[in-house]
Amino acid sequence: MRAPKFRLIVCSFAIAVAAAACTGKITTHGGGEQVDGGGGGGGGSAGKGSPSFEPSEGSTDAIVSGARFARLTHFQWQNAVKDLLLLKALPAGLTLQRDAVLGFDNNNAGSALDVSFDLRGDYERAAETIAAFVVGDPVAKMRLMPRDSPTALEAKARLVIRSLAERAYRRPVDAAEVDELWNLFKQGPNLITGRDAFDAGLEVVISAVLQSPAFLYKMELGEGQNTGSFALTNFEVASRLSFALTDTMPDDELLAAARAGELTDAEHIRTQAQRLLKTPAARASAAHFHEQLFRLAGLDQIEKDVKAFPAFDSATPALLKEEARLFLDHIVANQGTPRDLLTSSETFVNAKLAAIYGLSGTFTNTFQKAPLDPQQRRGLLTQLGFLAKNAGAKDPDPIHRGVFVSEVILCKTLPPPAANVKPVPTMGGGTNRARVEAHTGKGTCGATCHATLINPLGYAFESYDAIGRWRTTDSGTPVDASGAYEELASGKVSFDNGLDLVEALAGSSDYHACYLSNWLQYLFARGARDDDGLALERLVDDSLAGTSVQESLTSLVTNPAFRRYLP
Amino acid sequence: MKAVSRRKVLRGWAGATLALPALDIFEGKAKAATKPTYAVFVVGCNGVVQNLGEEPEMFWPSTTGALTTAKLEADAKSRATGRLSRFASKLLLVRGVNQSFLSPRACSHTWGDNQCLTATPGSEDKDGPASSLAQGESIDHRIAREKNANGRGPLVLHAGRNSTGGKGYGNPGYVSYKGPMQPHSPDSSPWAAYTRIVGLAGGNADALKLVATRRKSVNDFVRSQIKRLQSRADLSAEDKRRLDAHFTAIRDIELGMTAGLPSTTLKEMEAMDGKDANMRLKVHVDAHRDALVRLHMDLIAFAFAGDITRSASLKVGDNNDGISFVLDGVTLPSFHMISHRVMSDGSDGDPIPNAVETHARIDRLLMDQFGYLGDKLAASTSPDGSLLDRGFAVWTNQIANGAHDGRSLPYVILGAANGRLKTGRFMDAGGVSHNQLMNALLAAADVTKPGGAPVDDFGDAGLPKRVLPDIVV
Repeated sequence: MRAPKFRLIVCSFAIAVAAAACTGKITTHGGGEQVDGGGGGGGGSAGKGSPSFEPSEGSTDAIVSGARFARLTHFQWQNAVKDLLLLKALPAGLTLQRDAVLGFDNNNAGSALDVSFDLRGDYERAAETIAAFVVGDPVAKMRLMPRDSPTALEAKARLVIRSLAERAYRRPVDAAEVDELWNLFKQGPNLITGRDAFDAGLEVVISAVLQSPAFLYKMELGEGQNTGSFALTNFEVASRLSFALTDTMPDDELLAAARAGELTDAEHIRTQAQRLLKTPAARASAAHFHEQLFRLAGLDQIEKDVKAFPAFDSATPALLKEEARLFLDHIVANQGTPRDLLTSSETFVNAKLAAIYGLSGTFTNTFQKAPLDPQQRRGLLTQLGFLAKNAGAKDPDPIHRGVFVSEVILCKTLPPPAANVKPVPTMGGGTNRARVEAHTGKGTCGATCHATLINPLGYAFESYDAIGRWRTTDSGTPVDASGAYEELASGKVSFDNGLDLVEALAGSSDYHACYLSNWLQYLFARGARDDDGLALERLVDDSLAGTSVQESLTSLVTNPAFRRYLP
Repeated sequence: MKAVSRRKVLRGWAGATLALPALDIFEGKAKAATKPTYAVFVVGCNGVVQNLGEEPEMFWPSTTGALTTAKLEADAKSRATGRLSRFASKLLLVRGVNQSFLSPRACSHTWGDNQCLTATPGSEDKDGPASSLAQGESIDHRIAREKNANGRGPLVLHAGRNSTGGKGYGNPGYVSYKGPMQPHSPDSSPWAAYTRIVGLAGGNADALKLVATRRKSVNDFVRSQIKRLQSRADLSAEDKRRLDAHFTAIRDIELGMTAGLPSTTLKEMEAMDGKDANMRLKVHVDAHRDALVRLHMDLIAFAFAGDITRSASLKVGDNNDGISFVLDGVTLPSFHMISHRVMSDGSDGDPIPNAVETHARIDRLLMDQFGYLGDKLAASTSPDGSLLDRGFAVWTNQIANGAHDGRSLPYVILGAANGRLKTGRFMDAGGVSHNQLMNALLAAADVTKPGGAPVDDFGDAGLPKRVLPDIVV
């Protein structure tokens, strides 16, 4: 071994924040760019085009809608194709051009989810591959045949066409729409070789339906022609509800409710929402939301110093992600509250993670629910994933831990770091906290931001080392995890350690408003709006008082605004 | 808790929204051009061996000024650019161009990828240090947007170990961006890209016709549905824009395409599309890298010759390039480790003997690959001259040298760009930010501001609005 010839800047950087003009700013969805909802035509801020809609049910809420032609996300597209064609899995090798990153993936702002030249080609190839796959598989094909199908080719074809199109378009189809697909069906034998007339026709029709704008967009047109604010049709409400809560097309029961005209009042929607929230699709959808919100994708990339942490090998990062996924799912599926996400002392571990947590007992490779010591661990911010991801190869990274808490938990964005900052030195004497403090704390150029807005939130977690293990000393000195944070709406909070801070966050309106505003964006499929905070006011009160996440979601989708298009 | 203060907080949501990037501008518009110019950008990894204070000069020619074949030939053994001596009169070497954003806030390889074709800084590393994304449109997309017919994007290719669409350290080294935070997932398989260009996967003429007819029937159906929506009187400008974009994206197969690839090349591309004996995708296997890069270059020349696109980009390597080259029968350590000079992807590790010389040999190999592109472009002739006369190719790197320096990035520009580029020279720009060179290259590609003035503001808005002089005539 020897000292390297260069001082190499390896791929891990501390951030430091410019001193100038450093004030926290409330934002939403820390996961990416924050952009305005796309429905109003792009970059305007809220407030412009003040809504003419006054909700009729005594609510002061007026929640602006997303795009009127909201293209399905790739996640929704996969789910909807599977549900439409009753497939367990899609054929292998399908690729869709990656979408832009604009907050949550369903934010249709601007041209982010446009059907570009390349994506259109991808849809075309995917539709052809899937159609051939379904028609080539007798069992899959049979599933699409309505019961008691007539035998005459045209009558049988028209029946299949109507059934397929109604489910693909998520609404009734008229005779002209059946005719245009029948015309395509008839051409089948001239367009596809090696199949009989029915199969060739069906393959072309499936391919066409999958490329139809009525399938690819969640359209909100209302009855007749509409500008400004208007009531959604029953079927549009069904689609909005289904894609919001389950990231896929409405199931048969929801379509039946739409057909019966039931989706016009809060009670029927509440019944449907509560039913949907129990489905596996809703759990997958919530997991998809949380993965984006809590930046779980990044857990895959954690790398640690193997000499310092032999327990943390290349298989560990995936386990951390699984822990977080199971934990979040468990809380939400069991009527847990936003507070529980930050304070529950239960988690899910296998033998490997149990060892890192220092748990005694018998564990296997399979994850199981396990209680953690509530004097050491409470909620997501004291679990291994957050702690290990926001840490260097050897030491915790209070700066990134603090930034995460500020941006993701509290929706307070921070200005970008100055351009020429140096990483926090990893060597040298003293504690990790002392090194960070000397680099960015009071008396340095980072004092304005770091000392007040970032570092205190990160120092609180100094009791957890770079892989998230509990520790009481650092470099032979007792850990100091105390601090104060002044940015909560309730004022200054002082804490002795991370558990104190977590409790303060869990009881703050700032956190509940942040978490629920992210859900609001996801359910309404758009970016942040200036007025979201006001729309959430009552929900935040209820949430602080112990309303479950699921109940808050139900409140949002039963809001009259959810049944209207509001530009 | 005081309700008043919380209400204030909630009202404070004002300011939460950031301005939406002007994404609408990315809608492609067909524009007439009298004499098309073609531009391709090849981006390598891990830097080159050059003298930035600590290591010998093994990349640039011995002296600045006019380039001659003889002068470059004399350098060919010890200096990588010497390998391009046959192109002396059409070569423009530019030293002294720095990354526009010198202080990485992400993995410095990724940071280099972020900005090299966009001149914008990377985003915060929200999903890990290698997940940073560029904040603006890349030059290949800009050229395609302004110059391509039918809204078609650039040809975006990749030759590396990682699959396209990968994230974090598994990312393929995104350099092409449709817009802020919108990396263009490249094609690793030239066969996939080729079939995308011509609209179907191989087949004989009859099969092509059948597929073309089928797609046209389905396209007619989709077009009529979109038209019905477009005819509604109650659409907003945004609704219309979105539907128009979708409508414009629908293309029937271009049966009239004349510029073909030799069948041997097509067969090689098709063979490269499969898996090897170990069930690994060949395009991601080191042993196929050189052949893959050359097939990509064949495809680029094909796409230019048929005027399918006016711009292309090719990333060689990934977030960094961990390829193990085989030189003279010897399998080398990972290129990335060689570039670090130690047996490690970080800074601690046993020294690699002759690492500098080995890195320089790899540089020469990479210049030979780039020379292949030059040969292909030169071989494609038309009454207006060869593609090397009518276009240009740029070879650059995400970083300047193995020490991850952002100063003095390598820029090897090959081609005359319809007489716009001042070729046959090696110049030192004296340490300017690279957006100024990007502005000059846009001029070389015949891209101007709407009124015809030179583009001086490519990339981040905070950069100096200047065009590097002495690049274009």
